[in-house]
Amino acid sequence: MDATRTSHTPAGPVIRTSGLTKKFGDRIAVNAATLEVPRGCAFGFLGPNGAGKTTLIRTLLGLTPASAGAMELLGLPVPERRAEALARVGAIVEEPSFHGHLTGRENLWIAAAVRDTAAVERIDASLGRMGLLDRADDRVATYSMGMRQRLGIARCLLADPELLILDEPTNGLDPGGILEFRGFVRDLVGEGRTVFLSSHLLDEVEKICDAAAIVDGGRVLMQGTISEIAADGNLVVDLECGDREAAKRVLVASPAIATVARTDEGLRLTIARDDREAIPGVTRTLVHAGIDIYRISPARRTLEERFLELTTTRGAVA
Amino acid sequence: MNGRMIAAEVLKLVRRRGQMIWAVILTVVAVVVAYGIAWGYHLSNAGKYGPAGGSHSLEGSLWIITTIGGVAAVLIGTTAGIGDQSAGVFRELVVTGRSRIALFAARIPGALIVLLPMVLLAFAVAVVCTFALAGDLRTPSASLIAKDAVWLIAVMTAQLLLALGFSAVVGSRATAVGVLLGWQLALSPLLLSIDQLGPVRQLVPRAAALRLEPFSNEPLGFAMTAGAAVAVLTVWTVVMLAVAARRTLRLEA
Repeated sequence: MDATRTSHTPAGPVIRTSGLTKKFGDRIAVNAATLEVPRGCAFGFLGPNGAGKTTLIRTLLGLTPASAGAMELLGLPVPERRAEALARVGAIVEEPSFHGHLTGRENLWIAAAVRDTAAVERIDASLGRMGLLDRADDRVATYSMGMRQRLGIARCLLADPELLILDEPTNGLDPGGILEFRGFVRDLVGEGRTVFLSSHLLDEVEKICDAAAIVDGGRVLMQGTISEIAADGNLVVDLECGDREAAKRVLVASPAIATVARTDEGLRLTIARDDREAIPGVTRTLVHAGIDIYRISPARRTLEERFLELTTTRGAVA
Repeated sequence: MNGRMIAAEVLKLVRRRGQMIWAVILTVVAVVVAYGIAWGYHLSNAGKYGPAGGSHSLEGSLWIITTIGGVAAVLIGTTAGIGDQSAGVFRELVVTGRSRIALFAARIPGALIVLLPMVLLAFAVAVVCTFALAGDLRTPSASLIAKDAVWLIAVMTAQLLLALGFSAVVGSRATAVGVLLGWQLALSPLLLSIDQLGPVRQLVPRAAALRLEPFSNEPLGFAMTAGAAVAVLTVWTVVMLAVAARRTLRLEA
């Protein structure tokens, strides 16, 4: 397997969709999705269950035809140049499937047989990299869920992929396996590959990925680096003060404040109309009301908070 | 499609040990058992039961291989036709970028490579027994044996490919096996026995197979040319495979 690799495909985003739409009858699963995944990063594709993540992936990979829109993989238009593009892509859609009556090595051989000759030569290296060499000649029916996930990734590596598309890859992994998986993704990115990782696990995406897109109701709501996404939105500040109840009464009455919420350390304020200039006025109001202020600072928001703000199905999020 | 893809199809089939054992039982062992029983009867009462071999026994063996061995063709054909979909592996192969038609096409030689050696072995056993156990009975000529072999390969190939195509069309191995066995073992003989259907019966593949059988001792009950028989078998097989390929092309993987 190439440790230092050069791209065989045009430069630019590894995935680009424009107005991509997939309908099942009257139901719109992917709604005019516009997505751009930069090369050489771990990219999280984040959305609640049923948001359209898997459908978009299936459409990209040619498992189901698009209803409208355009898409590119590795700079190549698909479906027009699908075979050429997918030759450099490794993908796991939903959970990886195998012939249970065959061994791990035989399953990889079957997958390699439909690729080029070099793929056959990568079987042992792929198994070794995923720590499966000692079980390679056991039937897959005897493998645990975690081993199947690793075998699925080993199968992706047969293509020496520039892009790996992994749909909910940590499903079924124990905490140790998840930790190992994070390191593995970072190693792949370090080799110059791009990992597109679909997940509904916010924590996973925040820990593994450099950039992400948030999808809900078939629409891509937002995309960018993790810090850009987390920082975006309304202007929110944390306030540490003396009499919290008195402060809350004063703030609720202020037209400059949209919302006030209690936190462990004080109050979290959403500034109306994102007007940064309103903050000194709010501070003066509190001081005039006799409230001691110890600290006022921009709220450090997490991806999870931003995600919940953007998506509609909060209760469904793990 | 390349040689490795065909080898992969063979691997998927031969590693199903239980199915392979049954396929051998339904082809080779069935012939051995049939001759064994006939030989046993002959040994027990030579006056009442003639020798187990001879030309007539070869004709019986062909019936055993195409009918009982036909079940093996259905088992192997349906596994080849729907095995990847059933295991969820078809999707994994499609995402490699390989064309669906190539993935489907590789199943055909793969399945034939698995079935035909068994069929030919069963036929070889039958030929050996035909001569070895012939006693004073007439034995078949070399040209008749050659014609029988060609006919057997053609009929078993057609049965296998129909099973492969049909299973890919219906998308369920259990349904395909049930329907095909019902058709092969019950419905086809029944249709051929209904005189009121007249020449329409030419459309039944079994009629075509019987018409082409080199011994041609079994009367069809209606006229059918050899050309029509070849056409019926060819059209059934080609149309079934074409429909299956189209279905594979459009399948939500």
